[in-house]
Amino acid sequence: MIDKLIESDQKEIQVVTFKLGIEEYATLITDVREVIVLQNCTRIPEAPHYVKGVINLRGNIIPVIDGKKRFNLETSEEYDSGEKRIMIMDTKQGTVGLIVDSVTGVVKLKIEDIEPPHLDLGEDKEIFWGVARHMDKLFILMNSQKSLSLDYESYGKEN
Amino acid sequence: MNTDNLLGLFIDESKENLQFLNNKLLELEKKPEDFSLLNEIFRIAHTFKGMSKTMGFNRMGDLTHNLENLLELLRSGQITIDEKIITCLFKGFDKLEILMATIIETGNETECPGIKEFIKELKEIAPFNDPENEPEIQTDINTSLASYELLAIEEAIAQGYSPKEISVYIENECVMPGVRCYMVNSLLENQGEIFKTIPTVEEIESNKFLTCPQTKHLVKFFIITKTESDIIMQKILSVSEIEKVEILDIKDSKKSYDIQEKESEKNKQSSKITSHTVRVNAERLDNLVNLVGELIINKTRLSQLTQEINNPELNGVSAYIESITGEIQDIVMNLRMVPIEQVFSRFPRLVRDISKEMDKDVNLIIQGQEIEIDRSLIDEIAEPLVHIIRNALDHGLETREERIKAGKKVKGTLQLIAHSEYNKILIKIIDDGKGIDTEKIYQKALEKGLILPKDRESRTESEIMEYLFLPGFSTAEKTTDLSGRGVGMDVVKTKITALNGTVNIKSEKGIGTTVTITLPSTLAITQALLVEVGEETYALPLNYINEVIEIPINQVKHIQNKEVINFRGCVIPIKRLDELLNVPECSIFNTDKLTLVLIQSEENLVAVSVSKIINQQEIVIKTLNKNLSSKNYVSGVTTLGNGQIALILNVNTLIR
Repeated sequence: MIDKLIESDQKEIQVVTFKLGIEEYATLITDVREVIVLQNCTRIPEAPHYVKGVINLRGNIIPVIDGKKRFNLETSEEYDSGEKRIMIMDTKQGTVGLIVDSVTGVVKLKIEDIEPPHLDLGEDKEIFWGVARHMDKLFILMNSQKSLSLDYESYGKEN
Repeated sequence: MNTDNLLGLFIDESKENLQFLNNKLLELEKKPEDFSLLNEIFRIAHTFKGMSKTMGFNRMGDLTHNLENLLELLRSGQITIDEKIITCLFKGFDKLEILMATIIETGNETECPGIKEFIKELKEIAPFNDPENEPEIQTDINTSLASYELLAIEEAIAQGYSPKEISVYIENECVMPGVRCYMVNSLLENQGEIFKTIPTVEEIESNKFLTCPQTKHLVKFFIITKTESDIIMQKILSVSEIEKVEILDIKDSKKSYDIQEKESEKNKQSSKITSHTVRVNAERLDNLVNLVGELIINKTRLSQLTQEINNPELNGVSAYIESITGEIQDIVMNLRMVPIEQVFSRFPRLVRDISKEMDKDVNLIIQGQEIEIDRSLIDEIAEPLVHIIRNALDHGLETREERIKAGKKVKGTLQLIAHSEYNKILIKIIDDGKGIDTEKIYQKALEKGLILPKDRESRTESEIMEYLFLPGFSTAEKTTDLSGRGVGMDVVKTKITALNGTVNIKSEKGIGTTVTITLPSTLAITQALLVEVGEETYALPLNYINEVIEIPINQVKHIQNKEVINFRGCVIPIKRLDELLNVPECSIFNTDKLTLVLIQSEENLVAVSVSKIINQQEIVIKTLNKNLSSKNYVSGVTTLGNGQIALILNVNTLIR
């Protein structure tokens, strides 16, 4: 997708930025349907470890992924500053929620400012598109289709 | 009148009526002496005719009219019900169905081959007058009064009046009988109160009279009067062209008159019963379901806020809204579900026809018609079921001779059973026929090059059975017009798979075949027991639960390091849900009593330990991404009235 964007004449992409711990992430705004305040998730036995559970969003049951666990970040014991949010995302597999520490805003990133993921971003590079510079900040650009997959098989090696 | 809007309504109702006709006729075939069935068939046919004619579908109307004539003859006992007539009626209903089909497709009636011939055939059996000219009241000569009229008569007698029935015969040559009637009428009006005339005044005005052997023009007046009969007689005879007058004193109303209600009143009553249903576009229902979902979330939010604010008045309102919302949810969720009977009800007829054709005796047993299934599935599953039933009758069940030879009952059995299991609906079609010969399938597969001889040993029976679902795979030695087993199976498989379901065939040679269709029902509603394990809430489908017991912890015994209980002479293994589901911070161990839910699935009986039983309630099953639960412990989720989510446990995998 990002490749296509780069190939096309589009100079900029619009992203939603959010924080996980001290790191800043970004995802395409077109993948985000809405942002809701954190609510209790119903745990699912035997679910992948990064799945927090399911929530009931206006009658729809939506699986929720814990962003920090998904990206293998330190999960220093949960303290909620009240800024935690669930980003409701559209993926090919359906609607998925992503728990983030806070949603910081919407910015436009210049395509030329996006570095491909040659940096060491961990084992599965596929879940990121790269790192984007914006002002004096760095955003890790998330590939929401890949990173929000619930497919246990494809992520089984982590467990 | 613009009939376009009515077309949908007409189609729906006519379909229903046709189905009803078929079913009643089937019953009648079994109990030909049951007069009420015949009456009912007649009544429906009459409604059907009326509706078709209103819609301008005259072919349909005429055909029904002719069928009605035949029914009328049966009703009046002029001909007796025999197989030929039943078959003829069935044929007629079939023709109506064909006409319906063209109406559904094109919105218009088109010429349907064979109908004219059929009507001719009907007329031979039922030699009736030409339909249009036949006065409907002709057969009404046996007077019948409505109950309210009888009541009026009784009252009049009690008050000292003498009600009379006056029959006025007008000469055949009379040019204007209507005028004579009018004259008689005004004479009588001076003597008392005319409460009924047969025919009615309107009918008299349009020159419709009762006919009898003596005269073409007969009118009956019912009058409440104190005047003597003789005087009335003289007065009437003073009118010219009156041939004869008969006056009857009505003394005991009940004896002299049938209390039988008139046809039209019967219709009124029955329409009162059917008018309890309203047809609604399914799309609107979907929207409604979604909206109710939102309503519930907001209701939850409201009650949360209410608790924070804690204003007694607000609390009351909130609680009230909560209970109403809950009810609305229940109702709305139920709206989309229809009993599977809607599909099943057409099968008795099908089975009858096929078994007649094949000359086999079949006993059809239908179970679980009340199982509710999402509306959208109803139409989809009919066709596959028809295929399977045909196969079972055609190839499954043996002929009478074969059955006798095999030492089976002469009458074959075909069972059609539906039941629901967590988020699935199972439909089983079981026959006690000769079963499927896997060897034959193997040979056929070999012939088609689908399997190699060396693979024979390694394939299980059910794997071999799978070949049946391949397109064009048929093992039938002779193909009948009902097609060979296999031709339809591929269609069945395709159709069911498209609905996210599965088809499974089990067969034992010489004993019978069972075809199981499993369908998911995303919107299925089921009864469930809500239990608490630790702090989590789970739903257990009620149809698996035998009972709930509470036992002291010291009754738990150990066998091979596994916990069991000895309950009513059965040794039942205990499964601790908290361990199975890795529930955090669970305190089942700390109590001195165990709450056990006894769960039965197929042959297994297992006791499942839970922390607490919450209640039993109807739940709406929603599917869950299957990747979420790797061990398949969870078959679905449901939202509770408070917006909270409860997981529905998959009993089968849980107790394995």
